[in-house]
Amino acid sequence: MSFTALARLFQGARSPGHPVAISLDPGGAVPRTWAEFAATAAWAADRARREGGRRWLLACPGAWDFAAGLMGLLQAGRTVVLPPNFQPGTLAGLAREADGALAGTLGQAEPRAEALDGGLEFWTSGSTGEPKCVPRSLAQAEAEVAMLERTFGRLLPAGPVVGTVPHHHIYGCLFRILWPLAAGRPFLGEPAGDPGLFPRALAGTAPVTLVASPAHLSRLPRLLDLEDLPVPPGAIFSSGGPLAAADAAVWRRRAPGGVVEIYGSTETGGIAWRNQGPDPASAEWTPCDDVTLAFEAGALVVSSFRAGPGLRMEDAAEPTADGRFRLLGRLDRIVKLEEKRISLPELEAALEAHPWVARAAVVLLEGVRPGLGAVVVLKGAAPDRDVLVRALKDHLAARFEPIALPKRWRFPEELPYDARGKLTPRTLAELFQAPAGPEPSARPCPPPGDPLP
Amino acid sequence: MGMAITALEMKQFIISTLGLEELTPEAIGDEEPLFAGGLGLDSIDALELAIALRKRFQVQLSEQDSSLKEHFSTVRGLVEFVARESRGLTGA
Repeated sequence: MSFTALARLFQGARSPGHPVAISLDPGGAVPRTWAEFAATAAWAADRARREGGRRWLLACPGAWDFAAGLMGLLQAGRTVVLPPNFQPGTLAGLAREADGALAGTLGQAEPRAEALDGGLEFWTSGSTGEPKCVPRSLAQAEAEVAMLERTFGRLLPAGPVVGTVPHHHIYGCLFRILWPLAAGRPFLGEPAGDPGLFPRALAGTAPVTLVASPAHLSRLPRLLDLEDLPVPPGAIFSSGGPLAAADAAVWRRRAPGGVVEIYGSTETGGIAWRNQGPDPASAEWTPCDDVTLAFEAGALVVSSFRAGPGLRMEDAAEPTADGRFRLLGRLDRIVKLEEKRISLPELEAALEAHPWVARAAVVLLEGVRPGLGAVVVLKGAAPDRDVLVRALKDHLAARFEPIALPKRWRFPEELPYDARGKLTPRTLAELFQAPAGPEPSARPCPPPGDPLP
Repeated sequence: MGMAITALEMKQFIISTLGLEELTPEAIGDEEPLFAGGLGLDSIDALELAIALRKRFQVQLSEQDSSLKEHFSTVRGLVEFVARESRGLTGA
């Protein structure tokens, strides 16, 4: 299937019967055609023209209507406002500021062979909690889609693009909607991260492209035996946060192409990618071919057509000799305790090097005496809690000063990722508000300041 | 081995699995949408719950089952799903 610039998609690039999307109807998977898609987009374009205005909110919870509405609003040359979530309060706030809104299910009208124009506004929740607008011109979105096709197009199988991530965030919008439309791959309308849909979404006989996040990739193999899939996914993408090497390995065993991780943000779009395998160097990131990177005071600074000149990331990074780089964790994850600088990612890496530990996250806990809390996912059966905590502290004490040793410990079955695949200090800290719980044992941690043996 | 579970037990299972200690079973309606409304559960909670159900009741999520989505939306649906799958397992 030929790759087409989005701007010219409606000018004869696709035949009427071309499958744009797949719907999982009760009776089975049903292809939905270009003819229906173009008619739905035309309905949205007609409505935007009839009602006028420049900025239109696109609040369709279904990926099919979202994609058609997006194309239609761009046919009408509108700026499309993409909400950070579909909560009624968020939508009401954005709708008040917009000139019009599309929601729910769209109608159909006479298709138009029009070029696209206009732009996008991604609204993100932002680190401060206030919604933040990240504008993206159609040309910028086109350039990113073209970069994806150049870099990863040969990996895409013929089957549908199956997404577990929201279609209205930048990663889902690019990978589930815009790139498949341009590359002529059908996308699955339903969210495949839904446990009731995931087994069916991957049950087809054509290998799919799986667009997911670490939160899903770490859990789905426990929901479904990957060996039971009729065929493995042909390509797997992950974004939103780093994928644990162990989780990458689980998927690689079933899908030999491995997991392509994309590092980026709403503001920058894609910055770099990696595909973790047995070679330790595969943990390093390769910059996207249209991005220029600088390293300033340990921070990564990104310049590109979509990011603009010199956008400073909140991530610490160091270059490698061959033009790639290592991510060292978020800059705000270097904390100061009693005047000592402590790198939380360094502590986490040290914990994960212990044979009992599968995953570890360390968080700064405020309080009368601020200290560190460690959240550790164990590989298997654990010894007694006291023995376990003592052993892990001893392990860390070989490299870290006592001030850097976590005083409080939690051992959940999974790290508390949120729906967007992020591991936030808040959700980590919340684990320490509840009692330590029965596993591995209910005995309390040793009090702070206890001497190690 | 019977694996039937009552609606109350399912609510207690949901509360303990997802760490919703501030909720009481009475606060969850049998027909209330679990993942799209008032309870504030997200798609990762849905996954966690499905994984925990699989572990606890050995129920399999089948790719043939087009009614899974409905079963995974309410307490009543989950109770019916577990009852149906356990019958299948015990051959009764």
